[in-house]
Amino acid sequence: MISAVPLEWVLILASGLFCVGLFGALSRRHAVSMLMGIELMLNAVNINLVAFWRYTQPDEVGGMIFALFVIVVAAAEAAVGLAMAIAIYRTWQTVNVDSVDSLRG
Amino acid sequence: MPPEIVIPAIDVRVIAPMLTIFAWATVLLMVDLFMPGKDRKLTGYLALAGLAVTALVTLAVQPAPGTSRTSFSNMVVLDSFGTTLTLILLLIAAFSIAISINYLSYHNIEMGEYYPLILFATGGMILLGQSTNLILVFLGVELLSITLYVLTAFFYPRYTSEEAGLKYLLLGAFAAGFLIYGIALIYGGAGTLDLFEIGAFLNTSLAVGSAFPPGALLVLIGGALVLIGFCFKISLVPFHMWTPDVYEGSPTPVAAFMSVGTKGAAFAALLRILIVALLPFKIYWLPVLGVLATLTMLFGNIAALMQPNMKRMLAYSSVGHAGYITIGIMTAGTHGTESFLFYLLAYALANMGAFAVLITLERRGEMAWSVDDFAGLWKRYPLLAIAMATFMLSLAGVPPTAGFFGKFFVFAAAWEDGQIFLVFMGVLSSAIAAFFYLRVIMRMFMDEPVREVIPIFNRGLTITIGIAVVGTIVFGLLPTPLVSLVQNSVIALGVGG
Amino acid sequence: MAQSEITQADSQSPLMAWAMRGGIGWVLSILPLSLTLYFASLLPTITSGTVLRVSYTWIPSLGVDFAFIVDGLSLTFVLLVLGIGTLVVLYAGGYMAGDRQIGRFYLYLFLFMGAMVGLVLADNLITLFVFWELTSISSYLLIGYKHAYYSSRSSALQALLITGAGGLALLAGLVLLGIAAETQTISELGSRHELIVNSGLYAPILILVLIGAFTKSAQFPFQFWLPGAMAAPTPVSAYLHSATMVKAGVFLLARLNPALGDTPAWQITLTVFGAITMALGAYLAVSQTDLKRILAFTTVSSLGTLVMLIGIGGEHGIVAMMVFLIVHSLYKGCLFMVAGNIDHETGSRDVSILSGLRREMPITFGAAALAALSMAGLPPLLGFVGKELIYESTLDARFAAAAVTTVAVASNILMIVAAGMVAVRPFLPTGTTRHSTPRHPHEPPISMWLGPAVLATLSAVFGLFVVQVMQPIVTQGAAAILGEAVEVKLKLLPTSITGYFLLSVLTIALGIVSYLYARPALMQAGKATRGALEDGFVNGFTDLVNNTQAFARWITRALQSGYLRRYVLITIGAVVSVASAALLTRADLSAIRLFDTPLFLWETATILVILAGVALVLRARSRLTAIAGLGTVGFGITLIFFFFGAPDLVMTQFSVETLSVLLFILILYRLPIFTTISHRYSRLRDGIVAGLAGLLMTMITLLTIAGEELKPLTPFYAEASYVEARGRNVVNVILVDFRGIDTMGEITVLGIASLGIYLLLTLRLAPADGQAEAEDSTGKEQL
Repeated sequence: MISAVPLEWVLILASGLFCVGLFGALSRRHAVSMLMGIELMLNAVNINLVAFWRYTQPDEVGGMIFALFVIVVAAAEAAVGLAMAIAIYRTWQTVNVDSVDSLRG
Repeated sequence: MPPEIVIPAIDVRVIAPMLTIFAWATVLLMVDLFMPGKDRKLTGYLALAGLAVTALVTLAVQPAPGTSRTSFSNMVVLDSFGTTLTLILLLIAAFSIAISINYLSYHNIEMGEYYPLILFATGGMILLGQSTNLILVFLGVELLSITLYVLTAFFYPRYTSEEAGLKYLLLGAFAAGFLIYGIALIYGGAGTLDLFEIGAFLNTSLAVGSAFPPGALLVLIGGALVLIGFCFKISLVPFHMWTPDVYEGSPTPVAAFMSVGTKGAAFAALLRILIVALLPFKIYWLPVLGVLATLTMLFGNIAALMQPNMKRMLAYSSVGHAGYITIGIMTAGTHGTESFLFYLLAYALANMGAFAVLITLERRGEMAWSVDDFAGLWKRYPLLAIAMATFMLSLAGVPPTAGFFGKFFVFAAAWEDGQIFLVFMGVLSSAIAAFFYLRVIMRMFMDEPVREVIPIFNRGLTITIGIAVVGTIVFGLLPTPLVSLVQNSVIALGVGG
Repeated sequence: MAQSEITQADSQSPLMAWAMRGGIGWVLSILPLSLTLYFASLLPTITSGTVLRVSYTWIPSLGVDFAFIVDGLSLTFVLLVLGIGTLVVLYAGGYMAGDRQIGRFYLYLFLFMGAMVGLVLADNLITLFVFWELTSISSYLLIGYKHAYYSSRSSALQALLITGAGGLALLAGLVLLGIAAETQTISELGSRHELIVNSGLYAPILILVLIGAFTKSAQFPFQFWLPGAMAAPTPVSAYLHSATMVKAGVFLLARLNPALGDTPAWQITLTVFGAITMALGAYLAVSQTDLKRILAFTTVSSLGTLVMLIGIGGEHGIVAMMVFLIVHSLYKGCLFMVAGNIDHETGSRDVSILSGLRREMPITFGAAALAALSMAGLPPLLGFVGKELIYESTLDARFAAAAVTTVAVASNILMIVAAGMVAVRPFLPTGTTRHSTPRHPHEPPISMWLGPAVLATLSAVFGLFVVQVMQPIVTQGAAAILGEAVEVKLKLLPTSITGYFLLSVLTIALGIVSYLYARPALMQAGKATRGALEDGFVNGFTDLVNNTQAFARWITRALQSGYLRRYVLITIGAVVSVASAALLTRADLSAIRLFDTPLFLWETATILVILAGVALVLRARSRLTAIAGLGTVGFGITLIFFFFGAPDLVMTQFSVETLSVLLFILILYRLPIFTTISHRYSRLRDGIVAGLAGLLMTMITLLTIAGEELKPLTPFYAEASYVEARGRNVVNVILVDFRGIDTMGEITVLGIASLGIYLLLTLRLAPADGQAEAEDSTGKEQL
């Protein structure tokens, strides 16, 4: 049957995911792709959170509730981000973040 | 084993200000829906009324001196620090709305939803200032940020507004990532999200022996990540990069609101985290904050030196001021708290005032905010020039303005705490800063007008500028009442009490 | 246009017309005059040795009081400030007659006067500083008043920058002084001299206070701003730049002498810098042709003399300083007004073309002649007494007496030459043909000659009655500066032939000879060295400012490139590099232990699913693939939550993930296709940064759990049954509802998000393509 997952594994998975998300956010020029990368990072954090909750404080609900909030709030943030991407596209005719550079200096 | 359901006792007074403002915002949203016509000024006035009501509620539920109340399983606290901060935040929000009312219609972006959003953001700030649980801190940050992402990108069809919104959102999301990661690690280490309990955990686990317990190490790393998350919000160098771009792109009243409101609330939350939860780690965060504050003061003021664009100059100047405020919160004891609140109010008055003056000169369809528009202002509009000069002097920290005592308090607190190097860097960067603030004054008083700019005045702007000038000078001449107010504003270090 | 109408309307009112002609000066001078008389009425009290103090609590928590003190030093300064102020107010009425905004000018002038009085009376360090800065601010308002006269804005900027920076240094110095002395009250500082000098803070205090004083009083190497500031209207120059404001630095040094003085560092620094300033100012003065610039450089020289005398110290030095202070204020205020009259009447200030004005302006000439005699140090004028005392103290100096005396003699010779250039040359016929001036000169109105005449007369009267008039107040002033009672005997003429009397005679003789014969040579020499001594400082300062500005521009451009991704990269890079440095130096990496627990099928499978998703996202060229990859990762995480036994999380994650995928698909199809990801080089860089970040975090997490006896990693199923777990989660849900506050926050976040999306999309919604966006926003609202 299913046995315990070692905490290290979960944490490493989370770190890896965070790092991939970071890479995505850094290397993608498409605004939506950057958002995807950030989504990945937040997912990674959530894994951490839930793992910590499971392994250290299974009787308390704080960690889990926090994870819940993170999921929802991150989704809300992503949704606003997508709306922003559409708005940008309308005005700028591009969603390439490297081209959106009128503010500088 | 039947599950036990424990319903915690609820003291609604603790969240009464927040509740009032959220409820008012929601109702306002609906009222606005049914409001006929395109004119949305009434919504603005109703929002101002809401802020007034909230202020009254805040005063009504304020705790007796030296006491505090907690509620919702100790997730929120109402202490005198929170009350004072709430009042300052409400004042900032009132200024922002007052300077928005005609701005929106003048620039053709009048939407009734604008005002409830400001109220929601203010509610988020109040929440940040009162929360003693990291979940709520996170929620407060997000509440504030999501609102501001939208408000930043609100200025259609100004293309820079959307650019600013996108930059703010993507960098803000990064910040949120750091913040959550940090909170997760703290949770992993301390097993709790409650600030008081984290503090207690650190005290016991660090007291045990010489070895550094792994749980505490996790809290330390988590704390560092939380700090980074906050550094984005309060724009400390090198996490400040969004600041000038976002301020420049967003509608000017929103930039004004962000420059003081967001900073104030985020600093307050950080202050609470640092002194309630992470005080045992002071030896670690003190040098880190010291380096960040130094970089911030230097870079913010150096970058502001040559800005031909007033809005960007004010943005960089706000970065610089974040450095000074950081010095205030570093000396986290009582004097740090006092100097933080004093500085915040002084800075809020001067900065809101400066942005209000900027709004009077903002032309429809233009995005220049050139310093040139201030040239010769003295000849044409002497009162406006004097007001702007007052704000610049206060921001530069020249007596007899409130800004002088703000800096004085911060540096004195830092000196008492033994942060001599920081005081030195603060004075040095103030010298750099004086250059560009005084340059604006020089342009106003000594140059010939470059082009004819007729300022727009309206009641909201006039009253805001008036209050800001009077406040800046009165608190500069007679700081004692304000000093006693901030001295009585202490942070609750424990539950109840 | 509007302006001329008003002028016309005003000129019809006789009162207004009278005010415009300068009558306003007469009325307004009543205010400073009555104040002068009030303070003069205190003279008997003060000269009897009494010290008056008033104090109001200002900020008790900081120990800052509004405290004032009237003693010999402050009363001398107050009388100078108010007395000369009265004459300047009067003078300005005539000088600026016809100026539309003269009311504003007077407002500033009185503001400045008030600040200056407050400054010299202050008995609290912070009060003093507040007034100090007020004098700076009001002086800029005054300088900026007539920017039409303003030949060079950069020089105003210089003045502002230098005194502004000096003010900050002073603030730091005063705060430190307050800390070292454990009091903010200035009159208590003297008794804590030992405490301050031995506190370890003495060196920084000294440096900071001296920077403040030297910048304000135009001491070497900051002397160059004062001649630049001469572009201001002449009443301002006469008042601020000679008689009052620039003496604030000298006043500060005198005031703090009991607290900081009497140490070798104090004496040597003040004497050396004062002497250099004295010599440099005098040398540069005689090579100028502009009347006001000559006067400006002689002012620099005199300020140097005053600082040097404080440095020499002792009873002789301080008494000489007190007397010379009065001497200089009287004659220099007079000469500036004379220069103003000449400028006003002829339209020129160039000494090389002015001559023979004696006939047209006899009263002005008389005043100028007397003042110049005082400046040259001829008996029976007060200047002679001053010069005698200076030589007496330099001969008496505790170190390098010979050198200091030589420098003083040389400077005074040059001062005589300068006095001749200012007060003799424009008035007497030069023998050569008379140049025509822009305007035909005649004697100015009484308001403009009264001031110079009064000041010049006082120079003579004070000289003649030096014992009766000067001795009492100088005694008390010197006592205040020295911090102990002194007995002063002043006399106009020496009773015997002393060394310093001979020096005086020598100076006068050489001065007259130099004026007559060496002027062209001096002029030549001055011109030859001007590049280094005069312009060098200005240029050096300008270069410093320009380079700073260039640096500021460069660093701002470099960091704020406007590229969002670069912002992210810089930020992350900073975090990663600092954190890894800290980790590598501090932490024990060998403590990390890896994977001693085997993995099982399900987990492995889940992780593989997630990794596959990640690979998809990374490799995706098409939008759909990327979304599919993201979805896969999300659902994989849902699986992990499932293993952890958090069913409500599973549900939430599942629904949110589904919705996100739908949203992404909807939106991506409205946007252009993916461009290829960044260049190979930048991708490599991003990969390294991200990889480092990931590695760092992995190490940190491993490190933190290494060695820790974590609670037994009990498998979830062993602890509770599935059913029970679900039951407990129901409890959680209930708890969530009762916790209320965070849920409220969350709901608000969601509400705001939907509102925001609605705003972002409707605000700019073209009617035609409203469909999809409406779907998006409703989609969010359901969420």
